[in-house]
Amino acid sequence: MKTILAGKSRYMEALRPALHDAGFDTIAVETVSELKELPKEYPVILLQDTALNPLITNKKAAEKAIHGLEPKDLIVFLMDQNQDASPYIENCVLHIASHLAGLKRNIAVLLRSSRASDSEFDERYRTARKKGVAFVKYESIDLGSDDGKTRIELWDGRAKLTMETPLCILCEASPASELYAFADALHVRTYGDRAVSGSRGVSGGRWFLNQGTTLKRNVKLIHTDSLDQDVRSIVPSLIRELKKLYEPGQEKIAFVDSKKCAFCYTCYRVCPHSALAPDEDNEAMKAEELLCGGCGICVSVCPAGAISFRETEPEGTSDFREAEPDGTSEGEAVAQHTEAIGQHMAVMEQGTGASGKEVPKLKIFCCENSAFPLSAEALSGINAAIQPVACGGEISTSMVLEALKQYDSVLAAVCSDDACKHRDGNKRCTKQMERLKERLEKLGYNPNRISSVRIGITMADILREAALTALKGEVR
Amino acid sequence: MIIASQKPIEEIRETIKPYKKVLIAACGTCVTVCLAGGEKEAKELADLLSLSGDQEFRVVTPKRQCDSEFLEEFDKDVSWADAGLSLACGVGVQYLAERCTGKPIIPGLNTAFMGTNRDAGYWTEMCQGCGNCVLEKTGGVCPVARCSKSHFNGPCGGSSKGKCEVNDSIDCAWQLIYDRLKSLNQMERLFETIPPRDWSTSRDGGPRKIRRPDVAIEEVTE
Amino acid sequence: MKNVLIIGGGLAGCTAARELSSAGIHCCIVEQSRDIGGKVRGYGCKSDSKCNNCGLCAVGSLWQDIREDSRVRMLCSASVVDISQADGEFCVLIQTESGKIEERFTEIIVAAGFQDSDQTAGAGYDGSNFPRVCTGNALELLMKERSIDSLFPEQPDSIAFIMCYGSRTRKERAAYCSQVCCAYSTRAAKVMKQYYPGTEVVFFYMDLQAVNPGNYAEELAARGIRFERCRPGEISFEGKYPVVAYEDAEGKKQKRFDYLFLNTGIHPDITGNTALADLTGLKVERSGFLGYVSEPLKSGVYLAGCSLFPMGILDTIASARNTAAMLINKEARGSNWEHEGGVQ
Repeated sequence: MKTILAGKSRYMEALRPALHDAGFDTIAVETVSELKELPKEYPVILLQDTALNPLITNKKAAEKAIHGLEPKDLIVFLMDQNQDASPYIENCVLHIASHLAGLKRNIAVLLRSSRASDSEFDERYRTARKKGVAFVKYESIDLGSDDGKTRIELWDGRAKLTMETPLCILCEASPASELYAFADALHVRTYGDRAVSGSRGVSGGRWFLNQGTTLKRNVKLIHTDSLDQDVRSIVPSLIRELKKLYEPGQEKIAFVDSKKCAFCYTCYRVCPHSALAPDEDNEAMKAEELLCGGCGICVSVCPAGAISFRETEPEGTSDFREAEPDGTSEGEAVAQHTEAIGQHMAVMEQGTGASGKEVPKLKIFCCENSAFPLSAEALSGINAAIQPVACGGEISTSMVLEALKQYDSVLAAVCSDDACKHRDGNKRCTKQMERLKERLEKLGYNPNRISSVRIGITMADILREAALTALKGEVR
Repeated sequence: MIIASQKPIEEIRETIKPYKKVLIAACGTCVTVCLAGGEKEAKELADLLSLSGDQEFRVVTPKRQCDSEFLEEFDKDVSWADAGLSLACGVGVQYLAERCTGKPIIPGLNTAFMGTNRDAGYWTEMCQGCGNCVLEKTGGVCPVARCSKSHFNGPCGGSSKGKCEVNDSIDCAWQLIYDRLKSLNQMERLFETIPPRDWSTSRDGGPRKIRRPDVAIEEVTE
Repeated sequence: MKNVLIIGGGLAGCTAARELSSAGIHCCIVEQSRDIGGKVRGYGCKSDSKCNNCGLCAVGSLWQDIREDSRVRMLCSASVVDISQADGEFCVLIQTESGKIEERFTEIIVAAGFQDSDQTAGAGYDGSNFPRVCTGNALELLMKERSIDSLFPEQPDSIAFIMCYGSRTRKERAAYCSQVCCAYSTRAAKVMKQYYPGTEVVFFYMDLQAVNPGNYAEELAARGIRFERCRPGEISFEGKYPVVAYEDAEGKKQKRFDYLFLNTGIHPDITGNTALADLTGLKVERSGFLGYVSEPLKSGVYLAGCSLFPMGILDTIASARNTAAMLINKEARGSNWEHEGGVQ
């Protein structure tokens, strides 16, 4: 089993033996061109050490910088923390500040907030204070230059303070620029203007789910700038996940019918796992088994209806409606289906109930990451048919319209914004539902027969209320 | 690629109202790619329009409606139907109409432009088929399609911060041309005047024909 | 063959158990209460219109996984009575519902968590009779049991939070920062603002942890959440309503609020920790939390989660994984993880 370690990090030397012990052959690369020469199937671990101002990490560099200054000159460390606040940076600053204060210098550390992370931090602060470092927490700050010196004006919530310093050290971290280049080369997406920093940018809002994972299963990210998230802690799960890449994927894999595929690249663009790519013949798209996250977004979005789920054995039934019984033309089969909808709708509109009182009137599609675990508790006593889905993105308009054949109303219960495990499946669901509702309304039908709700993992009451509202078909 | 968008559903319903049996003809090429008239959209339309219960629908998806061979296999469905709702571009609608003599063929889409799929769900106009391409002179940015006024020799002077005065969500094409020529080190082209255009190569000379005598061996008199 | 005793079946204990199990190591969780899950099971998701990264869903199907895991034994309503050592192993006497049992273990992980904050501050939420001064637990229940359009029984006019209540003060022996309060209370405040945009929400604070990247204080201010830099001197009552005495740039003030939340923080169960220290050879730190006497790799006794120090959900998971990793990789080489803060 092979894995590529891409990037430069002081943890490289510790990580390699751990991976070796687990049976991996590691290949270290430092540039994108080296990476591109390696086979695409190899999993990649992106290592990122933050690049810090050497005045914060190197005592000699700091001493050199203060060399020409007067003993009474104020030296300022400014932690504005406009980027990811990092205890690593804070720790470095505490060390250097203490060190310089010990050399009988006038040191002030200005910071917006502190991210104290363990008892040792308190000790370091205490030590720094004892050595004479002044800490000032501010709410807003203004910097200007005046005759080669930096002029600082800050508001600490109660009073305004001004100071002047010949040396204002900006305590910021920037991820190594190679990391962006690697991310681009691996098609690991960045989000908005937040670049691939730490583990947040890469996996979107779900950075906390699995430190080290990106949405692309064969690319892992280790950011090494935080002391409290000891890198050791993710190594066992990292190794576990890497091993899984060499085993068969999960049960539900997307399957593209190459005869129907229009090669429009829509699925490729919406897939959060970068699992779709042109097949070997370059004639249709193909879902990579090891990367597919089984979310169903591609299935519901494909304009040619070419993608379905299949079980990992080649013969599998799919959720996708195949309208081709023998003998009839495709057109006729679909006609029979739509006729059935028409008849049912006619019955509904007349007010006579569907078949029997016991039959559930509400169909709820529950995302298995939020709503489904809650469903037993939240929906007890409610007469509804509950279907779990891998993600809100799996819920297609055809599934909803199919459900409307049998049920009075349909509810889609999906995850909150930024909480979707598949990046934006929840939003895709609610937007598709909205479009469908608009069209129903334009045709003169009650749009409240379909609804959606976005919930977090403990919101049982909200799920229940949404179900009750859906049953009543009221406007919300 | 030809880019189109579906007509509002209530408009479609109005136009097909008189017909009891409607064949919805999707198209598997351009309109599938621009998510307007592919099989998925056709089936959804069928589902929605049949809610009223007073019409019958069938859906077929020829690979393209602009080549008659693809339409042959659906002759049975055509004869079943009272009318056809074509979700192809304007070309397909007309071609289907030519083939289905006696059957009204109704367009389900508004064909918009020739353009590109910039990102999932987002298309922009790039070409207007003017018949006399000058892209080589303008660094690969079309002054006909992408300049709101189709200016040939420089901006109109109304652009602001690189955006068109007609609509500030549109990039000023001449800004794009300038930037592009600069990156190609071809700035001197800005000083080459493109003479006034003979628009008869475009729409203004009537509907156009193109022939390849080496392929269409037989002389066609028309 | 390793057999690990895990004292405590909360988030840290169960996370460690799952890590150990996936490395093929058997373990036994001894949990004092009737079920595993600990404090985290009482917490509520804090998304407003968006996820606020509280980490609760990172727990996922942990409890179910543990119950179904054949390598993990669960002893609930049980506690450790005695530990002695023989042949390099631990002989542990466990009091269970059905009597005392004795087992041998090769290692011990202490993941006993922290004390219920309601016991330190006194007030709590009990549904119908919602008192107006409450602690973190009450806040969590609010988040959990929210309905689609209401959090409180009726719309409040004003809500106040007092931060660092009971932490960062030498007097009450809690000189440390409890780590989690800035995060959970500001997230809850965002939710409150989502439900009641017109309600005044005020934080009395000393400083604010950087919960989100960027200027978090600005982000909160943009939502109308106000910050007063002051540790209130006194809380009095006007009938049922709490009145907070504080000072700002203009001078001393008093304000009545509909609800007052005290960020009581995470505090150690000192009695429990003392007993555990006796049993396991760990020590009770000045803060009241547990600490190592000798290296866990040698002594065989490990710590994880809030037994060690206050930490939030994600940090607890990381701590438990870290501990498990140390245990699993005990014999492996490549343990050169040490570095001195990156400063040379």
